[in-house]
Amino acid sequence: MQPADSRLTEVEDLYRQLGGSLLLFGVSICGEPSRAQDALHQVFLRLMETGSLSNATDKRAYLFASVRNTLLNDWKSRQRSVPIETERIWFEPPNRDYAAESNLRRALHALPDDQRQVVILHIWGELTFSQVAEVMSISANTAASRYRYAMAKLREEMLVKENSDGLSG
Amino acid sequence: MVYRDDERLKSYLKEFRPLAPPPLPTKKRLFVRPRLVVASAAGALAATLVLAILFFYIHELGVPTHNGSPATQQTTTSQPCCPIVSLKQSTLGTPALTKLALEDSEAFGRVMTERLKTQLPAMEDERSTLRILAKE
Repeated sequence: MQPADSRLTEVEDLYRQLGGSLLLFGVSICGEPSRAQDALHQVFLRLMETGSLSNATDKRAYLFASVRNTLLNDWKSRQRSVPIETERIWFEPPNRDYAAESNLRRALHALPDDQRQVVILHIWGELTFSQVAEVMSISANTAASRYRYAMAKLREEMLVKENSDGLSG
Repeated sequence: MVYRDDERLKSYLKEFRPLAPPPLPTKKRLFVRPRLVVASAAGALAATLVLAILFFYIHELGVPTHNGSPATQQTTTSQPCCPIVSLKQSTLGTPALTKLALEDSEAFGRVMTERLKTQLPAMEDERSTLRILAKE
């Protein structure tokens, strides 16, 4: 049995390390930053209480799966889907380029839910396709192909926006 | 154009850092608090129980105190032969009472009389329940 203090430290470290990408993943599922944040806190507080993280073989995948399950359970209990909130920023852009951030967010919105989740898990969650597959309960091949489709669509969306900005400018 | 291929697009996208969530609500003492609360509650309950038992023992059953309270005097005068035995007898359980009844019927009778005084309504008093009921 892991001592309570070291268990807490580990959970807090993971929160600092993965909190941002877990929150982003949560928002991409439920559409509401506040609800995603609640789910994230719920997961981490539960981990602090139960210490069940020590039983997880892949902690990173376990955390993403926990956030996803919490949000899906919440969604089931509410029986309604919420459109993704588009006003609030999701990222801290490089060089404070908020136009680029908005462009990326818009392109991510345009993706189907499952493709958007795979992209977020792989790029910002830094999960391998096997881990993504585990989180999403799909095969690794499906995860990889969804990622490829998503990247093609993202590229297209971002270029379209950039070109239209260029043309209008 | 940074979007040419997947790898370049990926590294470009990674430059966008997801916003950090607000700090976790502190529940650091979550493990300690319930234990402390439970321990304190158990301690308080135990202390209350002990006090209640002592109170009941002294005031209701007429346990003699070391300073010779009226309760002691009353007990000793009503049962001059064996006051301490009567105290113990009044708290005896059924097996002990049975044994007492077999060995010393007089003492058993005294114990039962004492018990009746505390458990049944008074019949001799002017304002006793039975008298009031009889008048009505």
